Amino acid sequence: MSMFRGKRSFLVMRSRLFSVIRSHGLALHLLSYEDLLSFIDSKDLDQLLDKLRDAEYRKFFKTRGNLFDNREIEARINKLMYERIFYILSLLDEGMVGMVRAYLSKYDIERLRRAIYARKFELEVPKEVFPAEFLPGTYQLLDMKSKRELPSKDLEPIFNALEEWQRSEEKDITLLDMLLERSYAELLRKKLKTRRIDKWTKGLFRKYLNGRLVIVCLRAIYCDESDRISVMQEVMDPETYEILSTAESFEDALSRLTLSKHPRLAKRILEVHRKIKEPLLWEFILFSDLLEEASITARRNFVGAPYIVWYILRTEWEAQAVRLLIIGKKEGVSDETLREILGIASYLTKY
Amino acid sequence: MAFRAVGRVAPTKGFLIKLRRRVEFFKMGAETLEMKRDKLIKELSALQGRLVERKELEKDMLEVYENLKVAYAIAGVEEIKKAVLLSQPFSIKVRTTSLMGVEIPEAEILQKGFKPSPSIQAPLISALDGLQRIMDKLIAVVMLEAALERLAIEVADTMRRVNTLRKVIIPEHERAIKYIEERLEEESLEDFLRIKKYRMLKRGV
Repeated sequence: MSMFRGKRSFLVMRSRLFSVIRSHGLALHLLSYEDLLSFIDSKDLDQLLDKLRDAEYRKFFKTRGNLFDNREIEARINKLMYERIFYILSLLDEGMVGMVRAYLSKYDIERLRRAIYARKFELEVPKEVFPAEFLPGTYQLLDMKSKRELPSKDLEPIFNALEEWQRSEEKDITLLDMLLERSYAELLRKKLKTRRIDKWTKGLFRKYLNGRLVIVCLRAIYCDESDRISVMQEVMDPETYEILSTAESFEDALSRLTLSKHPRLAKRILEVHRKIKEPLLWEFILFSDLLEEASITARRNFVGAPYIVWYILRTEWEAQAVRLLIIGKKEGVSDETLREILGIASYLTKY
Repeated sequence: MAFRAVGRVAPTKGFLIKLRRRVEFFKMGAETLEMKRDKLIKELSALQGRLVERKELEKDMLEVYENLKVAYAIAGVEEIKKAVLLSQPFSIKVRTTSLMGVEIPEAEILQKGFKPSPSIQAPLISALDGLQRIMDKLIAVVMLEAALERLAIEVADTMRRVNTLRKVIIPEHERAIKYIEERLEEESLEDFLRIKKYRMLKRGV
């Protein structure tokens, strides 16, 4: 038995090492900060297309026509991101796959949410820009009636959230949003208990989750829906929950959070808020902060799982940044603004 | 003699009385119209002071539009479409109030389109919220401009009427009165002379 366990552990180690080495190789294909900045300097769509053709985007952006429809642009960028992530997922060991899939299920939940919105308001279900599911069966939850039909136990928190929402009398959209966010937190928290994953990787995801919950609550405050924050009580740090649930405004919440145990995200958001005055970059700051942390952790664990996580996060960030730059350029956002946003939101400026 | 504003002039005492009454009425009308004009001008100048709101609005709208473009680039097309799923048609109710006979429109927002939800990314909430806030100002400015336009048209119309009364109709009527008075005086002098001559002939002088 112990020999079997040892062999299994060896196989896991071997598979993980291989995926780390592949991540190192694949990371070379990602765009650097300078590459992203050069997108801003493009004078027209042709120049932008040339720059995209020089990168891995060449197979999705072949002609000028590929840059006409913004929805298509987003779908193409997402397709490349999904391809990259699914490739690395195919190399990962079981423990890591479960964890990473749980982290990426945010896209599946988003897809599910849009379908529910469309159904609730009797509108056409939007054509999908997310080409696949990280947690298979998430989308089918819409039509599932009992837990017995669930294809995987991982989907249970999302199913419970939907059931709770269906049970509620008002069927309020904000409640649905908060319940889905809570289910994501529960799902990821559960996976954080997985053994054979190092503390740094767990720490990164935990940090992301905490930050994400803070942002969701800040958005709830911003939308005058702070009474819905109570849904998050079970999954949030008590001190953070206390601050967010009693704050009068998001500025108040942020300034109180800077004095809490985890002030970093709030400090960065406040710092940017003083410059921009509008909450334009909350999500970018959260992600950039996570990437910065992931980058430091990956450097410390050059041949460990944090490098894979760092690669996946960078892939996600690249998709966001490329979308920002292409659509921003197309819609006439000034180069100065794009440079400023990229500078504020990009951890890459520091490395 | 031609009096375009008076029409056919009959040099009779009855017509003279009629014309005098008419002039009196025209003068009263001109005075009333002048009062209306003054009141409208007063309202107009009070509203004109608020025209700076348009400049502020234009500045705010540019800012909101810039934010919307940035939010669109940050959040992406699909996020915008998600926000659209949560939105309802923007509706307003327009009613009119009367000021010295001028219909001034007033709008009331019945339903604001966008209902933000915490699942929507912050830049989009901020930009759409900004857009919604600007709609209040935009509608106020539109109503202000509509009121100003209607008041200005009415002031111009009233001034034209006052001027026509004061410079054309009343003077022509007065000239017509003077003409009739002179004609009547001449006629009465002729009659006097005729009677005198007739008496002299009768006496055999």
